[in-house]
Amino acid sequence: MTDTVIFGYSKSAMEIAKILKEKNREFIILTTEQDRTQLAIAEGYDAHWIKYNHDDELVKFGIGKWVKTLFCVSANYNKNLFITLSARNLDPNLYILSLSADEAEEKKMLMAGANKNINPYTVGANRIYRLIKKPVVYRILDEILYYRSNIKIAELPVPENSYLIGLPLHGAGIEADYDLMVLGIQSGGRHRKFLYHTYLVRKKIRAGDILVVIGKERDIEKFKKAMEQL
Amino acid sequence: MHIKERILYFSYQLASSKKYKELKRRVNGILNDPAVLEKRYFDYFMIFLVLTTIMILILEIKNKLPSWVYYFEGLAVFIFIVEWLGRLWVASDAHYDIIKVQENAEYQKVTLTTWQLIKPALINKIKFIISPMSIVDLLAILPSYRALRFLRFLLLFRLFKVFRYTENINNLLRVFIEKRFEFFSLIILFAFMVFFASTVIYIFEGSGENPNIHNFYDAIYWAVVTITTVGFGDISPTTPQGRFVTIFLIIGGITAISFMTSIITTAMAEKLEMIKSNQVFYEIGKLKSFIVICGYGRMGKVLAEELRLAGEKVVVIDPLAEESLQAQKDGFYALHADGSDIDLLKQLRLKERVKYFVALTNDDATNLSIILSVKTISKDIILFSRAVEKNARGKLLLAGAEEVVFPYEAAAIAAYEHLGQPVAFSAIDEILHEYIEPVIDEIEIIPEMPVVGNDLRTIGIKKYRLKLLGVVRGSENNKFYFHPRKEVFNVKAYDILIVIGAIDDIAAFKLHLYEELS
Repeated sequence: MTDTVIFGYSKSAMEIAKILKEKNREFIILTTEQDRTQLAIAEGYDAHWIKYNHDDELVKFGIGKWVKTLFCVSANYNKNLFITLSARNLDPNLYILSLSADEAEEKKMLMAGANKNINPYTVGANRIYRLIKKPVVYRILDEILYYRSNIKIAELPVPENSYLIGLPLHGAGIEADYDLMVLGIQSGGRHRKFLYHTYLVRKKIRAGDILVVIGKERDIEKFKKAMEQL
Repeated sequence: MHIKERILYFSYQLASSKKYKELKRRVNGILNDPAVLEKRYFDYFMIFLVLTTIMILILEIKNKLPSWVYYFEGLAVFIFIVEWLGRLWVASDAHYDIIKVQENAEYQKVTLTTWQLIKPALINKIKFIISPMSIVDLLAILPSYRALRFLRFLLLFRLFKVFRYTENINNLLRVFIEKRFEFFSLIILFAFMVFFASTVIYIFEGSGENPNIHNFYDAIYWAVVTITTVGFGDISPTTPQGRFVTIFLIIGGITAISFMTSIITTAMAEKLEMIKSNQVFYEIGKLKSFIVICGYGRMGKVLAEELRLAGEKVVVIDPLAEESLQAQKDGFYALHADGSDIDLLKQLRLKERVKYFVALTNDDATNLSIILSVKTISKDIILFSRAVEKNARGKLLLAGAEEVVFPYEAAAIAAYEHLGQPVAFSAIDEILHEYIEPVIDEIEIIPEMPVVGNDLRTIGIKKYRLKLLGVVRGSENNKFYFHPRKEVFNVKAYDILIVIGAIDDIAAFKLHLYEELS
């Protein structure tokens, strides 16, 4: 019972499948075209052919039950839209990610119920922009985010009863005690606003907030444990 | 023999003189090269002279002008003469022509007469003298010579000189040269109709029937006035036969004129686009440095916009008229051209002014060709490209791209990261933008800065309210030191500090580092 589903086997679906495979995450591929299904199977993936307008087929593969993430990335935009809407209907908590290259398409996708739309061209353009303007920063962040460096970025939810609760972000001493860098904090509750940890921030830590820290893997682990213990 | 040797000696001397070459290059620039800024001022000045001397010509018909006016005119004519001599000078390199002839002769072991030696050089100069523009210049000068005063109306030719200084009008007039075949056929048609109509009217009304037609010249005059639909009415046909001819002449005239108008308007519309791009070229010519983006598709558009927000000057080149127009509407310097055109790239003076060049057309072969063209011009330009098909990436890298982005892969990575750590990912995504605060930035330490050798904690990072993500050590093969805070960490030359903070604070901190320099 895999909790990740990729709908479609387009160029972008291929890339997503490759990354998920690299990261050892299990997933299945669903397509509405036989030749695409064959292609995905030939490349060693667990792929199935479905009729997109039959909800029970989606249910058969776990949407609305055990599937937590759905990538709606087939080459046919209208089918993506249809599947997004159907899946959202089946499961309000499903995380649906779509890729579309067009602002109008993106809006419709979000209206149909996608949680996040990623525009490949914007991402690509951003990448070049950063290579031009901030090559060093970009290389470092790239390594932290995507590649196997010993420095990692992590987001840690603050548990109930943690020793941090009530302390101001500045005075909590996280950076000094655990040799981490606190990038910022996202407040829980309704106002999901991300605050960067600059010297202007005056915020007390509350349960349900999410801390974003950068540091060595073992330091992050240590901090995570400490946060949970008390 | 004596003269010949002198000429040769002089030619070799000129050829070896750097100063002479430089002077000639500069003069040529001012006279002929639209990319040279001084040319514009020179052109304005010359237009001013032309217009004022023509004013004098008009005013003196009815008024008695004070004598200083004529001194002024004399001065203007003197400047015209100097200008013409200058053009004559830069039109060809006489000393090279002479040397070439001499070297050829030496090679073939023949002795030349003085005449043979200077003949090609002279021919080149004469070629310039009889070129249309030179003749216009001469006609603007010669009638000022009082002995030729009866040619005074030729002074009006100075007006044509104005065209010399206005590239745009020049371009429009070139329409007549480019469409000469169409015009030629039309003129033949016109001439035929005029001749036919005037002959007919002359036969029917030339022998006293019409009091206004005295000779064949009157008949031609009437035919032209009628065929062009001007119709003054000073001569009009009086006989039924004459009127019959007139009907056909008018219909034929309207047809031919509409035909001519359409030729001219379409040709001019084509030219107008060229004039516009010339204007863009001129604007680009004034930039000190810029980034070139080839291809204004979805990716190019986003990138151009981001770079502009970061304060960069962006030049967009796109072979599609529609997209280059869009880029222009969006406020970029847009050229409707092929990005792999080496001549174009040379004209843009990439080598001196461009550090980054981005090839984003939606065709891998085109991108490849662009990369190779740019690399031919300069090895130092850093190129980025996009791959439309993933397997093209290797080839694009091989051609010399610094990095090739495959949008779907970048998006897939982003999608994956979003899944795992959405908050962290958007946080990082946002600080990388330059227009949402806070920002992340890199600060390079140069050897002359006094902070070199000091402990990182003492150089004022905290004072300027910045956070340090880490240090990239240039002297250790760009090793990354993350968030050094416990142990003593001394700043070294060529370190790059990666800091997060408000834009103003980062700028102030940079200033602080540089201030200590002086």
